[in-house]
Amino acid sequence: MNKMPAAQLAAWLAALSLLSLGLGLMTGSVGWEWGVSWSDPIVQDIRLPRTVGAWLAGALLGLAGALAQGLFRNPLADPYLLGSASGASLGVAIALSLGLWGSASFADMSEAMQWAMRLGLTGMAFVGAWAAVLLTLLLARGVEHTLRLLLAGVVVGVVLGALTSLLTLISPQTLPAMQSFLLGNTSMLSGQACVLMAFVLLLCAGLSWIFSPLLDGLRLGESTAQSLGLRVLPLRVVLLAVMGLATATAVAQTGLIAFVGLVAPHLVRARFTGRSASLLVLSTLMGGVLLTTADVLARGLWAPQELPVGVLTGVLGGGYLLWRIHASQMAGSSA
Amino acid sequence: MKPTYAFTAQKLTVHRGSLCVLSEVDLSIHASQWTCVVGPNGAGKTTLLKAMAGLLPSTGELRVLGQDLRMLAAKDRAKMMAWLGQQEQGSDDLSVTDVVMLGRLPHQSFLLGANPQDMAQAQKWLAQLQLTHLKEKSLAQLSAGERQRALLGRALAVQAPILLMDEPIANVDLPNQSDWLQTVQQLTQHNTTVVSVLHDLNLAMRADHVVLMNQGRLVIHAKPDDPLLHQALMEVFAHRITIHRVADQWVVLPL
Repeated sequence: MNKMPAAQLAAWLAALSLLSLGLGLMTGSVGWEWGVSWSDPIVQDIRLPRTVGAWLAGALLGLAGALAQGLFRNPLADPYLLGSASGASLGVAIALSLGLWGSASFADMSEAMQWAMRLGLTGMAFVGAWAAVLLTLLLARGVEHTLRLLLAGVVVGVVLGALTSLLTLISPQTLPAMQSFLLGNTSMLSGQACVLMAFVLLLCAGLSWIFSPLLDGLRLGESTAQSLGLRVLPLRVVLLAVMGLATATAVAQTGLIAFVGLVAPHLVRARFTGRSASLLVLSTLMGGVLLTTADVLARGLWAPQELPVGVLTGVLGGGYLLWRIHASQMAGSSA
Repeated sequence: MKPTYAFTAQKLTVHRGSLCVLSEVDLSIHASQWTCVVGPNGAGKTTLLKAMAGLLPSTGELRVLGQDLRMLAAKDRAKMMAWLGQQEQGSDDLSVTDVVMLGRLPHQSFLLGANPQDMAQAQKWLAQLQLTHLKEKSLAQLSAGERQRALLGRALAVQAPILLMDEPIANVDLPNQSDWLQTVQQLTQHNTTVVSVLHDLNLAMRADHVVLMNQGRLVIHAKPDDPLLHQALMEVFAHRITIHRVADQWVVLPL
């Protein structure tokens, strides 16, 4: 496949972003609507935050995916690798369970429960995701050993996943809300959520861009990165924190969106060869395009029934990876 | 005044866990010359080179161009010593120009990135290593020899007075080995100190100095003509080699 210069691919992705955002504004609960009015409250209050929010969440996941694959030097790494997804799920499960267990009034709740209710589902998902990442780092005894970090992430994911299942079993009433979170959901995105995600995206993209030379150095191996004057350990901590923040923010707002973080950098690498700074920006744009497009399809394909967007990204992302594996096998056998 | 030695190490020791993998090495590496580190597998060659580059925690005294290695800031150290690792990985989706430009990282700030001088240096090494026609290609599209030249270009673009290379020509064919030898000779003529680890004893005997390691200890540091070096090589390799003089060169053959 022919490679493109970064600027050309970025222009394509920006155009696709605008197209998908426009389609998002034209997609309603009953399907496509041509000639929507900008002043329509449904467009302004529901479709606009939902569509822009989907782009921002996808962009955060795309950025986090590119960071994960660069930091772990593994093309199969995804943003949920450090247990953030299962941590967020557990946070939501706790919030839902506490809400259901809550006694008559807020004043009667214990201080911890009051805190949980104040934080709400989004906050608990965010706290849960971060707590899981910190637990992973603690179990891995730092960020020095990549394999230990990956294994700790897997262990944290499994254990927290089991705890989430246990909580759902104890409080079966939480199941519908938990299911919505686990399948990924963009329908509840608000203007405030968009502002928050935009702020986090700018912060994370800026920091990633500045410290991207570490990812370039790591592409030649850890010793080489070190020999180039890069302070591998502190820079890795910064970029892991950025990855955790981007993932936790996206997951807290949209639930678990499968495959976007994994596939976006792959799609970029299929058309681009170059430095990590450009790869990060392009993966961010690609993540935004993927999730907005998936959201439009989830709303429009089977209207008025809406498909869970996480299911759609899972099917499409998984299908794409299978196709890539098949294509690379075919290329290998014909070589 | 230019120092006589690029490196001096005294009682240089490296532990891996409770295991001592490099034991009290005393060594002085001549400036602007090529020193080759040899020895059987597990002798501590790579460990010695990594310790000299400051890539491994070590004890003992270690001075680089007269300065205490451990007191140098990471960027200053990077500007003094370029490193080319054993089978250095290169991400397949980096172009040759990208790889060579990475060698300029020690000269750049995170915020400002590359400047025209960095570009000029990269172009210079691309031309010198005959990589200009390949500069837009990704590493995945190169042969083993071309790939190794690109990685060498990355190390040379650092423009450091010392170049450390660990097995730089493993899996490289003879013409590419010959090119590498020429490059090393040119570098030392231009006052660069080259220290390399090599498994190929025939190539190692072309160096200005040979350091023989065995079981984490320095056995001998001598010129290739030194009969004591030949004797030590025979002993370390359990008398399974013979050393001959052929056409003004030392040739080491397996028995």
